[in-house]
Amino acid sequence: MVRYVLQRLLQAAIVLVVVVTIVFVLERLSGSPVDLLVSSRATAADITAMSKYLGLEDPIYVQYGRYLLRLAQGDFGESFSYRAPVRDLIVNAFPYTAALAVAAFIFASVVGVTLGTLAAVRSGGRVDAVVRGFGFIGQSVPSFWLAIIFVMIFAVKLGWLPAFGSGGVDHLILPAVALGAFPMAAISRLTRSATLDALRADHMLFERSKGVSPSVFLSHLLRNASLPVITLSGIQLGELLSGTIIVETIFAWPGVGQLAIQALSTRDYNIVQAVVLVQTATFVLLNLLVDISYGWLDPRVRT
Amino acid sequence: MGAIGPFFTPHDPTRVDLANNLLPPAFFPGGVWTYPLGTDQLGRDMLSRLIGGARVSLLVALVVVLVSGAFGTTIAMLSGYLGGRLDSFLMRLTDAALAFPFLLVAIVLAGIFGPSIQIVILTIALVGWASYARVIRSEVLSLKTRDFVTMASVMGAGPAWIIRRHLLPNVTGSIVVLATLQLGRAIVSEAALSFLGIGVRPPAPSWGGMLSDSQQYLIAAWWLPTLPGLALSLTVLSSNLMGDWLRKLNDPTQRH
Amino acid sequence: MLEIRGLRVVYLAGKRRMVAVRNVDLELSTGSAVALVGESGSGKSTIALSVMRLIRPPVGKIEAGRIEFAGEDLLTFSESRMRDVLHKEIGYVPQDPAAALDPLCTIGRHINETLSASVPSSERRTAIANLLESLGVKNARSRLGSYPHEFSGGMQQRVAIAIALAKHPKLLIADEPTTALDVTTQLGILTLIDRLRRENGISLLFVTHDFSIARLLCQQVVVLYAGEVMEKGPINDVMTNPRHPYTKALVGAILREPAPRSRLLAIPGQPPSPVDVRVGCPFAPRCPLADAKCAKENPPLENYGGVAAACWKVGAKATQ
Repeated sequence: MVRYVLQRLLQAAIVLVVVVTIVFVLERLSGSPVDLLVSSRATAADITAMSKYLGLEDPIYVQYGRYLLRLAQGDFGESFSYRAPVRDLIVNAFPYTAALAVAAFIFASVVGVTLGTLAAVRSGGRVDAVVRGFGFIGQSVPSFWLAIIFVMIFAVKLGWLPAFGSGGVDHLILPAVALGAFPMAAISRLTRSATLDALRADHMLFERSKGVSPSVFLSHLLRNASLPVITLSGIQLGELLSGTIIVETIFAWPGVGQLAIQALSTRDYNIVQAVVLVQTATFVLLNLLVDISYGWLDPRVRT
Repeated sequence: MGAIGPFFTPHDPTRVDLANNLLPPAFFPGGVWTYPLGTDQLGRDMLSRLIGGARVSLLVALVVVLVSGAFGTTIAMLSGYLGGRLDSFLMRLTDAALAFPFLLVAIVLAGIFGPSIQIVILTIALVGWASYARVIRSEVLSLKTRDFVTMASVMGAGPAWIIRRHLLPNVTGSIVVLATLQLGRAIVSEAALSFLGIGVRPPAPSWGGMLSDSQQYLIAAWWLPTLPGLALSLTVLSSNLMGDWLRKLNDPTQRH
Repeated sequence: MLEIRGLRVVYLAGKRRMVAVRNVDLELSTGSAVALVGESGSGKSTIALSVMRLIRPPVGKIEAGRIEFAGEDLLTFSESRMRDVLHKEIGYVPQDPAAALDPLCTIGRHINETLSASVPSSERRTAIANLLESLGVKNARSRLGSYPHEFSGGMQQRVAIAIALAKHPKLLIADEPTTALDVTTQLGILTLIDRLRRENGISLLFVTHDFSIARLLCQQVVVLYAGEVMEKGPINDVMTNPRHPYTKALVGAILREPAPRSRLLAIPGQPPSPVDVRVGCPFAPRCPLADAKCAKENPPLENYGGVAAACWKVGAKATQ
């Protein structure tokens, strides 16, 4: 188990380093930041001085090392549009994104697993057909359209829920459901097929031959069916995270996604960069957690 | 619908007609048959813009599918057939690509180079090839052990010959299935990027852009958000259904 | 102990139905052992699973017949009463223990699930460990927390036998318990099953494709072909003097050929398809003795000196 965890940690670290490096390279490709910082009347000497001050005269690997060191300290630089350290902006916005993603994920997994199990148990029946149709449509409707339609119907026409902004739980419902609809559909479809597969498995037949009580039988069934679902949930959680960007923009939800999109229009690259790194790190971390919990559930992976 | 676009759009999708803005579709009160699906906030013809948007979506999706399909299949062939250290390196690369948050990459690229269709295609393809590499590689691995491949290899056929004559024809089914499923995802990705303003630039029509614009008019004009979203969802739905159907056709174990 | 009458079982695949077992009669007296012998697809495993009522929709259905266990028809039992019978009275040893044991469940928990509720919780671990030790699992106590994949095939089968024995069953159903094991462990498992049956007075329903294994463990044999009983009787009698041409081919092949795998090549042709209505003797298309009558009328089981056979040609000589 320890070896397995270490292996996963190493893999996660590699993905993270690759992303950090790509961001660094792209930043250098985009031209010298000096041009943004000095006025148009600056002399060549001014520019050289500024470059030296910023360390841009150093060899690229020294710059890269310094960049990594800065990131490791959580220093993402200054935001010139907010006139504040980017770290503070991220620290303020991240809990909102996390709340949205977690709410959407809870919605997606609870509803998805319930519907999927129901469909599998009633396989071939009317419930099954409805759930399957639902799952198919859910995987075809993009979250941002769903979000707009929700706003139009539930906020504008019916006035039941707030259309945007943050506040109580009622502010969270529409964005969370819009964001969770796609993973919900995916999870329900996979839960259905995984449960059916498990039901057909030899060991479930054997379990039946043991004459165990229905609850024991069900616990064997659900444990086995949960393995592929957990793998998928990890992937979906990652997609949810990038999905927050678009849903946050629609609902003016003050998370890191909205921060990034606004920063994009004001060309505040330090923010964009920081959001990308934070999101990627969260994504990698979540996948790591899923893999480890998978190892905890499936003894065959451990050895 | 997208294919006939170049030959038939009732109006110029970018022509502004402010006198007739926010007209509902013709079969609703207030609509006129000059604009069968109504007009947007600037009086541009919805139908023409939807067709124009379809053209962009399909164009982007097709290029993405071609690029990532070709690249992913090549990687899969090299990885699966040649094996060894190259295989494990390429598969780590594939894992990394699958773990890549594509929307974020698109944002960074758009931030640096400015929004453009090329960047949209590039970023979607950057992630898209990985699923081909994964699936096709595992098929190549099992094909490699089959008798006809072994025979060809024993008889002195080189890797290029075997890949072209024996492996490729046997994985085309899977490639078609993956391509169909990717088509739908690529269309959504394009729409998402255009929606965020880092894809197709206005005033050129795109479904994502139209949805983004519509947010200001939710009270006044329900058709503005509804129609492009419907077009988008139906296109994706049909691509998904088609992919599912092809997959069942391709998988002998699910045939009955 | 066990008496099966007119059993008919179908498998369902979408809209298609395949009749796997038709009109099978079988009896097993208390403390004795009966072998079900036949090729794959002959319906022998299906009969074994039917006794435990494990053939159920959507996979298949028991369409007709009675399965009397200790004087009562199991097919009339409610779900919960059937569960109770499976939990306490019928043990099952599967064909492939690697596939039959839930991979996510420790072997201790596996056995605990069938151990009688009357064993107090303080003694359960010891009871389970002792049971495993008695079946030849070394250091059982320290291995209760292990998972099935950490055991070899032979040890997995011992765990499966322990699961069955923890019930103190009256009937043990073993479905080709050694086919998935390597040759060196096969004999160990077979002698173990035989010893347990003798020591505990358990009745045994033993499914196999191998007459020589059947003879090791059983007194009675039922020969199945295409879901129907061809011949049944005391195994020594059947093997020394087979009445049915199919049995003759099976037994003859064993005695003649050293390699068991090529055994069935001795009989040209294929078993008939499992369609709904069947005309004539199922073995007729492959039978060297078959004539027009065999193709038209299905012969009933009839007694020929203590052995029952379903054949119009008993006593006739092969004209090959």
